[in-house]
Amino acid sequence: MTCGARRVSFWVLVVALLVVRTARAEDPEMTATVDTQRLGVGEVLRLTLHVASRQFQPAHASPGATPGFTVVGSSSGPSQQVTITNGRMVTQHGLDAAWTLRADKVGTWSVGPVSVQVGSNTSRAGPIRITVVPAGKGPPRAPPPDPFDPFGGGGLDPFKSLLDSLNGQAQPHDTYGTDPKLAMDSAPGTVAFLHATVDTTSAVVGQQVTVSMYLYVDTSTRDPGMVDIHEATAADFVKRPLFEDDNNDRAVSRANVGGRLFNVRLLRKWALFPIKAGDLVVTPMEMTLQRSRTTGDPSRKSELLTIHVTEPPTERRPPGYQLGDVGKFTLTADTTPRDIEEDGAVGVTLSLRGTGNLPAMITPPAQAGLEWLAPEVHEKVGPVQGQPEMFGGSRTFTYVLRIHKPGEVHLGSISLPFWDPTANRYDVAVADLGTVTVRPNATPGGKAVKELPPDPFSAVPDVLAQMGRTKTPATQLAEGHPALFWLALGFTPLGFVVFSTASRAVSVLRERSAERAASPETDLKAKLSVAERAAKGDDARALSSATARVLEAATLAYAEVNVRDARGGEAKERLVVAGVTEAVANQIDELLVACASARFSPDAPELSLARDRWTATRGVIQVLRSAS
Amino acid sequence: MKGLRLPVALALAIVALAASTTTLTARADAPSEDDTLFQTAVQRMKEGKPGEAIVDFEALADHGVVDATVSFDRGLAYVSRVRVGGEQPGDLGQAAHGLVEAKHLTNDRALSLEAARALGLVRAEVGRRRARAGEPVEFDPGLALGPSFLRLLPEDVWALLAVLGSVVLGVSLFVRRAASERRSRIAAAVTAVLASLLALLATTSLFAARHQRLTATEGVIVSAGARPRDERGLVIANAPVVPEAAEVEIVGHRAGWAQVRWGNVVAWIPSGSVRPLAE
Repeated sequence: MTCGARRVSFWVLVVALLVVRTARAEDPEMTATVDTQRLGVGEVLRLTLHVASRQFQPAHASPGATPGFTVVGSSSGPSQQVTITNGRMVTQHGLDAAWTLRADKVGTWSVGPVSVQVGSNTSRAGPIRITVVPAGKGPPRAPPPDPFDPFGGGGLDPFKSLLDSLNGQAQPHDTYGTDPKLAMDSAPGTVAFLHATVDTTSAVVGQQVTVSMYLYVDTSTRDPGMVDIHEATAADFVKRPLFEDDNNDRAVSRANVGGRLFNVRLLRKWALFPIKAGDLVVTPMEMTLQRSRTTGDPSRKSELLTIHVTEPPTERRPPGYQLGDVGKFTLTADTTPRDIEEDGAVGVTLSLRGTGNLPAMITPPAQAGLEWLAPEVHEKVGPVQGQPEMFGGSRTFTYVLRIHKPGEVHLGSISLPFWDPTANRYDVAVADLGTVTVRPNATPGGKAVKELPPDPFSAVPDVLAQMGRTKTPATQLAEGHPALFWLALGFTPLGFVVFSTASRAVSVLRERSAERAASPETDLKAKLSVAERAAKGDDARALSSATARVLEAATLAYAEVNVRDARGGEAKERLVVAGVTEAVANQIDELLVACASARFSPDAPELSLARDRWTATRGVIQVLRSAS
Repeated sequence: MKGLRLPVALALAIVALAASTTTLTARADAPSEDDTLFQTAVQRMKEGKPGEAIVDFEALADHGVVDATVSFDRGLAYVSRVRVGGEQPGDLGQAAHGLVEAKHLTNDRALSLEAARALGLVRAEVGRRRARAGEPVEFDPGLALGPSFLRLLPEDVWALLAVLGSVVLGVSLFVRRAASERRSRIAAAVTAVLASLLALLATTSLFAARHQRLTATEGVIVSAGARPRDERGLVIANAPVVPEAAEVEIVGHRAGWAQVRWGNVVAWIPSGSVRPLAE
């Protein structure tokens, strides 16, 4: 081949390549991928589509057929890239779409082809073959990336896992790509909701209780945004955040909530230290969804948390224990120098370390001749390194101690009793302050230059060395002998009342008895009785007399007519006037006259006649009783 | 061989009985944990270490030890801590509490006088400090009329007066009933009225005093001063600050708050500001 022919061939090849490349560039660039081609039933995979076109904006992306799968989430977003090369502007339109598919059935399935509309044409990619194995038999997988994460969450952030592990945010995930600890049976709200959790619902005063606030957002929707956020309050707790800044975004996890996939963002994480016993509450966190597609109430609130708080047991409680000192503490002390002159000063540094709510103050051991000045306190508290769930750190107290007595002065020790909730017992952190050699003041008259203020308590007595002298509690009379007290209080008034009532009752009974004794019926009854006895005897005069008395009593009882003093027919008239029939009145009158004759006759009356009159009298009485 | 068994068994039983008796005696003689703690505290006071003594005395209180001497010594321990320059906020109030409690718990006249004298010194120091700060110095504003009246007499005397009034009432009623002369009847009626009033008043006072004893607890202010607040926790305007070491009556409790009566003032203060007296 000649040189000219070679040149021609070269340019032909260049032109051909340019034509091919131009032709290819005009086609939409389309890539469809899945994050796994083998997974178990119930697991989810991510189908991703990337389309780029220089002419048209790609739109209407579709995953195509998804046999054996259920689409549980999707997202898509257009993009536009403008490049200027040698003064020529090139615009490229793009579309990124993603679908989350949950495997439902075992088998090998063809998903797709994925389609997208570019201009008037529909472009396709795929199908992709995916093998679904029984649940739990799929290969272990990393959690799926967040569709809303600007970094895509899929490998573009090489520091993410490292930062997560450093921050202690790495969460265990199950094989479904979701965190089982965040799973819930049902969603308390659509689109997004708040969820509050607490690591324990019972604690002692001062024990750490970790509260977390999560925001759950449905993966099938866009971030609805949050406005009008009201923080949860915990008035009965000392609140320490376990994040340096609550407003910083934190890693997103996934959770299965009632079969739906939610992105979960940890909004708040607090260590709460209860300051008193009782059922203490953490009020809900509240917010309003800014861009809610639901027509319902856009307000969301987390659960109300109640924590039952008690005091640590009093059994075996060490001396000096302060309520609220709960955790795991260590105490160290450093005293320098160890050799000073009288009235000189040493520095005592106490370092308190551990987990829990570190006490803000440590009382130094006061003793005569030691003057503790106010300490300088430095602290470094927050989440414990390596234990991000725990609050703790260190607090350093630097004292200046002036010693006003010579000799080998033992400064004593400082002890901090605390309740260890993990070991469920009391413990004591102790630090010995050591001994300081104090040389007598060599300055002539050095002791005299300082004039001490007068001691207001110089007259205070010494302590007593024997327990006792406690009075026994006196029993109150009314409480010690209640029955006796009430008896004494009520005996005489009640006695008077009883006596008065009884007297009255007796009087009434007597009056009634007397009344009954004076009635005509009673008189008649008595006289009938006398007459009956006389009738059985043989004294005709007595019987006549009794018969007359019976008649008089009977007329008085039944006709209310007194015939005792009647003479010469007066009895008959009175009886008739009183309504007695004339025949009966006549009979009574005759009987009375006959009885009077028999009674006052000088001869002895006949007994048979007297009995006949008695018999007749009984008949009259019967008639009078019937008539009355 | 069999003949030897019985004496040997008897000897063993006697030895075992003697050993158990010795052990029991030793246990009975051994000082209790509280006794040891008390002696340790007293020793620390003698060594001039009131801070450590306070820890032990407070531990005794936590153990539920109610003893006039322990309360007295505890009060002195707080005083001692102030004297040696290791004063903590509220030490004078705690000292006053221990001394007041000792007074309440004892019927030993000497101890009561000693406690009263030391209490006077503590309150004088609190008063001196308050006066220096320009604050009013008044520890005992007196009781309201009702409680003052109830405290005029002990409960038992109220009970006896009630019984006396009741008896006189009953007797005078009998006399009035039995008397035939008009003058005697009038005298008996007047006596009955007066006796019934006495019985009513004494019975009412008895039960009011009992109610007060059972429902109210006395306490001492153990903070630098307690500002009276209302139900909502707002400071009551123009109400005087209850000074440290003042005695108050605790009449109610709420989460973190105690309702106290100090003179005519009934208000809420933080529960940590007042320490109830042991009973």
